[in-house]
Amino acid sequence: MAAATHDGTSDAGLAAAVARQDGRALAEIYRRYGGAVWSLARRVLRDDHLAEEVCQTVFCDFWANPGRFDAERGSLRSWLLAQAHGRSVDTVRSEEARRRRDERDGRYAATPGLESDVESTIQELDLADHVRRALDMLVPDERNPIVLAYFGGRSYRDTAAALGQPEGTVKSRIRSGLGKLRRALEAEGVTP
Amino acid sequence: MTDDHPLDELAVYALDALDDDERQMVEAHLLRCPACTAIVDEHRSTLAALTDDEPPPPAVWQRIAAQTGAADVPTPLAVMPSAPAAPPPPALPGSQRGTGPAVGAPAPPTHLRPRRTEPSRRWVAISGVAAAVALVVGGVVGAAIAASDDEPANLAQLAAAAMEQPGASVATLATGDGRDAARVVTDGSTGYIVLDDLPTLPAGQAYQLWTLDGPDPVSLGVIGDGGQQVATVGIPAGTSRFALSTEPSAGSVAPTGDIVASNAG
Repeated sequence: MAAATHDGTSDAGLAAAVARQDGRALAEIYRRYGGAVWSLARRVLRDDHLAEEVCQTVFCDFWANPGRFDAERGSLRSWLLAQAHGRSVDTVRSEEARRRRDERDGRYAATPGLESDVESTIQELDLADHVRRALDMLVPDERNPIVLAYFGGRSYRDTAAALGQPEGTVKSRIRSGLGKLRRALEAEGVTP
Repeated sequence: MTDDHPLDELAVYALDALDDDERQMVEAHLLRCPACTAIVDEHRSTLAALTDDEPPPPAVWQRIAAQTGAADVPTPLAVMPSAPAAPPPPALPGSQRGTGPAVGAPAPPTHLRPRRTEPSRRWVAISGVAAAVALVVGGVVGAAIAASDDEPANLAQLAAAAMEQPGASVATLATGDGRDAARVVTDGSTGYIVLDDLPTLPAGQAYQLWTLDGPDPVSLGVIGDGGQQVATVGIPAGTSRFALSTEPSAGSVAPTGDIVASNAG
């Protein structure tokens, strides 16, 4: 069985084809990145049903508004994952608003055991080995806010409260942590 | 942070962890600062490297395909069959020949067209009306398709040329007060929707095309906000009754908004 006509097409070519409402191009993009979008939504949401909805929304939105992706600004994968993350975080926050202060919130309350909580969160995330090693290269003060905000879908204020640290400090540690994470990933052979 | 580059906020923004107020300030800054835009893009690519792949449930693609009108494309995480090199010849009216882009792929069974919400009563009423317009669509167009990655042709010209083809068919969709608002055109291989007289929708909304031939409306695809006058759509063979509705821009699995035009009565 021959491969699809689009299997050798570049991401930019696929995005242009989606702009012409080429359904096969959307299928090829989904084949390439559907797994990553699903995986991220699932990690942030911890709920397969909600993750399915986010995954569906990301690709249907892209189909309806393909011009929002700008190939000059980075990879299609990175852009789709940013969409998936934004949608997932919106969902987390609206779920939170619905059932405020539930036990999941309590889980990140500022307690002496928080650091081990973040560690167990990282365990639960079941990250790839090289990603885990890269995160391990950060000091906890930089790793924890990134994990809580990115994978936990928490605002930086919420993260600061959970960590018992000043908000401004958390902001700047997120920034410095992201820079180090990038270099750590490069050291692991991943070029983000 | 109005004049300076808000470097800390850019990182927090990339994590989707800013307050709404701060997010809006960063977004306003990004509009006029390419350097900061590049920093956000770099943060996002770093974060993207944290995620690896995991196969999603097949139902996810099935719903995407149904909602976008790419419904003839099989689940793409499986091996896909190849497309025909050239468009198929015009089919006889009413032919059920399956020459969509996915050769040999069966038409999606009805269970792949899930409905989350019940159609409104208006929709039930309309889909019960007998076809008023005799329209036969030749061939199966399948998913909206552009045959190559060549320079995109002007869709309006392509649609106009399609109307001239032998065997071409045109369905005119009218508004509730009888004004012709849109046309569905097919030349036997490619389908087009031409929005002749419909307003551009506000942000967050889109037109969605449906066929009313079955017991329930089935999506033929999200058309966009009406800013673009012509779009390609997949029109299965034999489709004769169409309707356009306004939906959220991501589309809906069943019509939820007002019908703006239809040829079904």
